[in-house]
Amino acid sequence: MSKFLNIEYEKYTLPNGLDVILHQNKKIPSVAVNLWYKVGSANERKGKTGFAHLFEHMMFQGSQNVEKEMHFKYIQEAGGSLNGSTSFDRTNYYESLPTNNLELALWLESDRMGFLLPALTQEKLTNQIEVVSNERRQRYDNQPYGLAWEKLFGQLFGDGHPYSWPTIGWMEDIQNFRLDDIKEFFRTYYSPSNASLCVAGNFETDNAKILINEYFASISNNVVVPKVNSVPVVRDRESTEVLEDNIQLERLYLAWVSDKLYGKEDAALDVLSDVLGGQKNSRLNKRLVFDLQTSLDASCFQYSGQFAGSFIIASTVKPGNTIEDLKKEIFAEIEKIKNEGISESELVRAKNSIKSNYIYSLQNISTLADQLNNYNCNLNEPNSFAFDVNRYEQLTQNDIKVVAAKYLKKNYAELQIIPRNEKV
Amino acid sequence: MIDRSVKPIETPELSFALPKIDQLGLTTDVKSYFVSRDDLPIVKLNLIIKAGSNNDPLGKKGLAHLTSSLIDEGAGEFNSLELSDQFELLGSTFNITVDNDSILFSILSLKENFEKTVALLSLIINEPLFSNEDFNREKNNVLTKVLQFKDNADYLADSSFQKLIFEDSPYSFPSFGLRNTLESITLDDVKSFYNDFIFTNIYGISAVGDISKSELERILVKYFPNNLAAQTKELEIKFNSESKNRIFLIEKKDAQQTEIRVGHLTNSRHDNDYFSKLVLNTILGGQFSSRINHNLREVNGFTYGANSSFSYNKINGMFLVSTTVDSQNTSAALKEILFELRDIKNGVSTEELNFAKSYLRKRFPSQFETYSKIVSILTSLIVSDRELDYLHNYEDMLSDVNKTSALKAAAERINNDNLTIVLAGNVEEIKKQLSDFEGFTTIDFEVEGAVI
Repeated sequence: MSKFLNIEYEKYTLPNGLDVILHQNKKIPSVAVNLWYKVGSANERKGKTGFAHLFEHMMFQGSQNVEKEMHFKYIQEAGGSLNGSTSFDRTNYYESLPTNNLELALWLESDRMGFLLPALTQEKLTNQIEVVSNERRQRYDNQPYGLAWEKLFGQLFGDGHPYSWPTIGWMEDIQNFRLDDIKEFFRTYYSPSNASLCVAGNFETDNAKILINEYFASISNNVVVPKVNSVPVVRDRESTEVLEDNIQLERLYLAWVSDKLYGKEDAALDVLSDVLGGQKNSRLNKRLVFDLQTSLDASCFQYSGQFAGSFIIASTVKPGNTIEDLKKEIFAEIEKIKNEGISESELVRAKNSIKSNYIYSLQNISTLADQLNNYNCNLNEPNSFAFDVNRYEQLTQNDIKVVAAKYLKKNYAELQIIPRNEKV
Repeated sequence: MIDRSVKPIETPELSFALPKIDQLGLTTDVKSYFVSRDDLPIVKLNLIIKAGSNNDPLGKKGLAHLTSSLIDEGAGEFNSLELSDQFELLGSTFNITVDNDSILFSILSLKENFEKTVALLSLIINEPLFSNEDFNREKNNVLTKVLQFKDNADYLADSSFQKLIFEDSPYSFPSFGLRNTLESITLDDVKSFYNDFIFTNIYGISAVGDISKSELERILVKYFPNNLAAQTKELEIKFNSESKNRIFLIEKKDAQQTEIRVGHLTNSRHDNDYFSKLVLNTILGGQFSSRINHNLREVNGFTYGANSSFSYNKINGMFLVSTTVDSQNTSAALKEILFELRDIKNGVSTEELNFAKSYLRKRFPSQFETYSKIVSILTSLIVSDRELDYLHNYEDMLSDVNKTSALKAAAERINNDNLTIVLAGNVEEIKKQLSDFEGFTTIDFEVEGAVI
């Protein structure tokens, strides 16, 4: 299996600081171009949130040599697919195309990296403020339980922490985006030295290098990126928030501050989350959904970023049951793991499914390109597939018990979402 | 030195050849497609049952779905949780999906664990436990989920639209069923459904992976000795296609947005204007750069996205425009949609036509990129009774579409006098905006008992 986890690549850095990663696979008819900008919502500040995500929109609104909406149109006309996404720590932009159109993708990506601002107008901004507002309504405000994550992270990380606001931004901030601020944000973060370009799939290496050099090397690099102002979160007690929503069933969320991405205990926390709430026979699912049948679902995951992680449990209460009882059961299961640890079978199952999921994920060239960029940006080594899987392989039963005791303390953030009409 | 002001010229296209698609040597009734591929050590397999929610008896809507929820709750010597552990131990994934026309059993596994994974799937199909306890729990869970559908305006809009245009046919019911029909389902009903429609009804197989054809045949024959004989009766389904322009309002208290659905029934996938409709819809609302998305999102900012589609079941299909807009702009957005539906009847430009054909032709190879995508496309051929010709002739059929055939499709297949419009949101706010819609009957639609 290990040979499949060794992804050959070539990496070099252009004089302007842009990292370039090339991975060739001549068996497929397409080429993926993937660009990471090391800017996410954590780089924003209070009162000016949602900028990184806004650029996920503005970057498709045309640049100096590309008319509005033509970015999408050119890629689609060539038979490609494209998109972008924003997280706390980074924004990615990617397209996958028939191989004869590599140059098209490089032209488009380089034009918006180097020459976006001349084409960024108030009219485009005004339009996209409306679009993003509607995105926010559709995906958060008007979505059942849609405000859970921003409420939970706000409470968990505390006011002012870079992970305390949602990546899409607060509605008030979205409505008040100013062209000058937006431009300044772009100048600060969207520079070649703050980005990583991965080209993966079917292409000629020599030709790709020439094209990448022609399109990207001349883009000037004139910034020093400000550091994110993140201090370790100290939570010495639990906190609770109750939110009313247009829903039928109560849902409970519990969150703890945990280890950061690729931190020493990040993988063990992943496995702990799998044992608690991953598959059907996970501890919480068995207890709450199968045996007691008091919950409709129970899930658990470790969500980690560059500066901190969060360990989250969520469960929807069936009619006739209470959040208080649910909480007791959840904490009893956590105590069991803290005291008795997990079984060997639980560990093996978690490891096996993690390993096969890695292999399954290699099917898609676009996913592979994104993963190479992820490893490059976070670990400075694109070919970290084996390293990553090995983080899980080497875990022992005791490692899981240890992290449960270390992180799942009485300093959690609790969010209850309850039906609006329930209030008297 | 490159000239950035000029779009780069494409280098010559790589010629694309379909992967070699084999048929398996199994019993003759079974449709089977297999693609051998070895760049990764994995195998993906779908078993296709040619029965689905349409086979639910009238008072027992939701039966196919509930049966599929229960069938993997224990089989052979394993109880429900043990069975799930077995899949996890192998690192394999297992899924069941149900729609009106079919039930799919899917597995994805590492090559080395493929036979063991098939053995588990065989247990599920041949020896499900169907215990009372599991039945009560799963039924209660489905009922609880149906209760939750009230939360989702998009579910209410979609299922109501389906209810309204497919009225009185089995396609008008959500696969999940309704609360009152679910209440009446018993464990015996589930067992009957299983015996009548699943046990000996594997109609199709599609598989892709790092395995030889003969090995795959050996495994399938070994583990499914009695299941591979499709005997499903074809259902007779009648449609009531007579309607006129009508607007249905669905109350979603405190909603900030309105879910808009506009459309009507359409003809079968097998009719010869399929490709004309495909190209036409690509221009109208089938992708990001379409007229409808351009208008509603990029010009007006009413929405995060808007699209249109022709989608098909085994017998006919539906044309649907779908979007979510802020409540204040419900009427304005609806007017723009109706404008686009009228305007498309003036024909499409050469540029639009070329764009759409290029988009559809050049992205075709990408549907064969991953193991999962290949299995999907092969499965969809089997479910919709299409032959491999569809894939072989795709480029030619597409290239035959021209402005005249696109115009004809617009004239014949977009019926602006026969529109069903569903608006789910804050009804009080929406009603204030509807005075301009003359010729439309406005009806308050009660979802209780109809779609939930």
